[in-house]
Amino acid sequence: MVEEVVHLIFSDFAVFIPIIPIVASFIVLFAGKYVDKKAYGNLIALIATGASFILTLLVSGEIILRLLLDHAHIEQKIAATWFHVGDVKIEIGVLLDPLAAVVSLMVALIAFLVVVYSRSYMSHEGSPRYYAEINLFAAAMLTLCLSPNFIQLFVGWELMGVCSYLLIGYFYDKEVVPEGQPHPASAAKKAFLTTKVGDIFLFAGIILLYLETLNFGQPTFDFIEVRDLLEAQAIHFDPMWFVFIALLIFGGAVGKSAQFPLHVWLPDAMAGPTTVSCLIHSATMVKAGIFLIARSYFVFEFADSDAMLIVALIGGITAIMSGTIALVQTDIKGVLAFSTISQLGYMTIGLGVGGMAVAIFHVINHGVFKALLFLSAGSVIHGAGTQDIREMGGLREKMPQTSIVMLIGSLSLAGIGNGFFSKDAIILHTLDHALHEPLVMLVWLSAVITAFLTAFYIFRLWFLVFPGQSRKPEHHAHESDSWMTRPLWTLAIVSLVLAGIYFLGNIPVLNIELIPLLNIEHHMFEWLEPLKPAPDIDKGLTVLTQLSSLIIALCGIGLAYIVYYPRKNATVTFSADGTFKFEVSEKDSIVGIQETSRSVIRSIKLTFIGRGIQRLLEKGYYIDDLYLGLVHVIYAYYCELMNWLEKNIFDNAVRFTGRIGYELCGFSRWWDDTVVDGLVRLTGRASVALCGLAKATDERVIDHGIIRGSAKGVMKTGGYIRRVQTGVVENYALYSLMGAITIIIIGLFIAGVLPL
Amino acid sequence: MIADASIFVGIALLLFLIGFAGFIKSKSAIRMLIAVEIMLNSANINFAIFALYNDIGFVTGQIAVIISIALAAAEAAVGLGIILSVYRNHGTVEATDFQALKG
Repeated sequence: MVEEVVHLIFSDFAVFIPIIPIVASFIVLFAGKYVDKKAYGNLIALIATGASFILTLLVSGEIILRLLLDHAHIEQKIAATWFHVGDVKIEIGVLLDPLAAVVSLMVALIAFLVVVYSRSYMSHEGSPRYYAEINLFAAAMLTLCLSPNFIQLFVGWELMGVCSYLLIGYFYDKEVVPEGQPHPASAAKKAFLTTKVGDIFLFAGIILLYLETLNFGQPTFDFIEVRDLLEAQAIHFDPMWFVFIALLIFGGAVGKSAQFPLHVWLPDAMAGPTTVSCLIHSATMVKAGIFLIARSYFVFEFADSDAMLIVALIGGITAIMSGTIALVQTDIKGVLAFSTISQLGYMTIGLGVGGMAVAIFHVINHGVFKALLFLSAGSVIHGAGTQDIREMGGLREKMPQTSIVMLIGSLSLAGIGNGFFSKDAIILHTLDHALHEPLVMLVWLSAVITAFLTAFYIFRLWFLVFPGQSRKPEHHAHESDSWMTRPLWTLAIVSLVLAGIYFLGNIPVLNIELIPLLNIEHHMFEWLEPLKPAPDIDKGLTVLTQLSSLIIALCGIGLAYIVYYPRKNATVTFSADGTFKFEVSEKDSIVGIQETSRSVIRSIKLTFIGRGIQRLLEKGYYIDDLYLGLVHVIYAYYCELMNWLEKNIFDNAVRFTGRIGYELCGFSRWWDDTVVDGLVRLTGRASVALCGLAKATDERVIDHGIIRGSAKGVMKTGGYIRRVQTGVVENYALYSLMGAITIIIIGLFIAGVLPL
Repeated sequence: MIADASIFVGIALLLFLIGFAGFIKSKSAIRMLIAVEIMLNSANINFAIFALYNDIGFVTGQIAVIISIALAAAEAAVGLGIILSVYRNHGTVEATDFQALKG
């Protein structure tokens, strides 16, 4: 590896990558009503994201080519000072390095394709607001990917949160929501608040890291500077304290990337338009958490290995938990949502065991094929007019293109295609790591089971949607137009090309590097972690893992085929007990196997345990209910406490006061009757006498003279002055301005500016 | 350092007058609230500018601005709460419709 800083030709354009979409966002918002009226200003958004994508292609393409051909070490920061606080300089700009290059390229590509796709998909429901928010989101994500310091990263991070909130709640005025699904407005609120919990952890982590650099006398937020400081002064810091900081930063990723305790928002986020689910909640924004950890990986490496272990365990729990929930989903987007959480769990496992290169490798591959799957699902929803896979079936004849691209995406997700390479790399690294750390064995087990589940549930989806006969023929499904199919084909081709490149680079199982230049998996390690030695994994282990990965994926697909494939035009119905029923007219040997296995599965499902598990999965392990219940319990205990306080303390206090008052009354009554009454009578007599005198004075002097006179005066004055009190706020404001002007003039007189 | 302070003070004055005109002219309570925010911002500009051109120090004025922004946020929250409750009770937020203070 050559250690020289190269000058990039296109680096000057990098600044414009986030600027173009953010400018376009405002233009669309205000001018979208007038330009490209039919598509709500789609054209502006299209040009902006397209330009941004071309720039990213130039900048990232150059970086990747230089990395491939020159083995250059690229780390170029182009930044201007944003502001100073004390001694700290906060910069704004771009940091060009391999990590930023690969991730921003994927983000820009998917953002552009989603805007193209939206032109047709949102042709009835779109608005300039939608395109403005999509563009703002793309700008925020690119800002985050290219940011050179934690502060800019956090700005992009929060901006994405806001865009996510706005876009999940895009149909906020929807009146009828399908049963079992949250209302878009409340789903948006839930997503925003849940991720906010993680954001607070992240911010605390950033501040603690900053304080650590401050302690050392070089306060900075810059990634490179913090990293160099840590590397140079490693002995002066406490690794245990860094575990804490690393876990706080990981907390941010747990929120944004929907990891185990905070994953509850992502399934609900599917209430937004499918394009939004594709762009934000599967391909890009949820990857920001993984990206964040990759960016601040030096903190994790520096921390004690406990931090990594926790990351890997959380990833393992998330992967298997949501993988199992995806098995029972009947909503097409629900399957994909839980699949996304599960795959994000994979990436987290990758971060926890193998280093960030495998995780980022999976981020790229997953971004491509999951965007493809979501956009295909959008095409299905658009064509079939429903999201429920119980009402689909037989769409292959009506939507041939969608069925093929979705098959490519499903294969890739199942682990045959470009998804194979990254998923296999993660499993391999987990196994390698498990040899040193026995607890990781559980994570490996979770990863392997999830691989099987993934292949099963995605093909369950495909077999129930595309082959066979339509279950709702009255829907009149149709193929989507070319605005939608072209992005789908683009993504499918990108997925296939990536798979081809990886395959040529390193043929799995045989372990032959046909063209070493294209062995991207190996290069990822070189680019992203240049300082670490390349992982040395036993060749036999590699072959074994790859072989078993393939077999597991094929087993999953095969099982899905046996259980869910409607052979010989079987009629599929959805029965009330929650299972699909298959009725076949003609039989052959495979149909026989299918029928036996289905009856076995049904008998398992109908047992007490089977029904319990089914219910557990449908409820998502009751985590939502747990959170709700927790709030209820806390509230109930609070009420109990208040009730107790009221009954025992306040009530007694009141009664005691009452008793004292009663006793005092008895005394004062006696006092009143005997002493005071006597005095009163005496005084009364005297008063009567005096009154006679006073009456005369009163009638003559006071009544007519003073009282009536003054009352009249007051009434008259009031009558004049009341007109000032108009009750109109503006008038009061005007009076106060007049008052202010008067005070200023008086002030000027006193100061001697105006002559007296 | 940069330019004459009077330019910035002039901008602040202009902003204040814009805000004030908005406050006087607008009927809707929400618009009035927005206008008040503009006026507050002109005051904030004054804080920052006079801090910049004085020897007191740059940061002092900025801190005052940040406190003032926080106060403005709290005020906006209260104001919006009042407007919301007024809307719920009367079904309108036109300020001219409310003359309960009329003598």
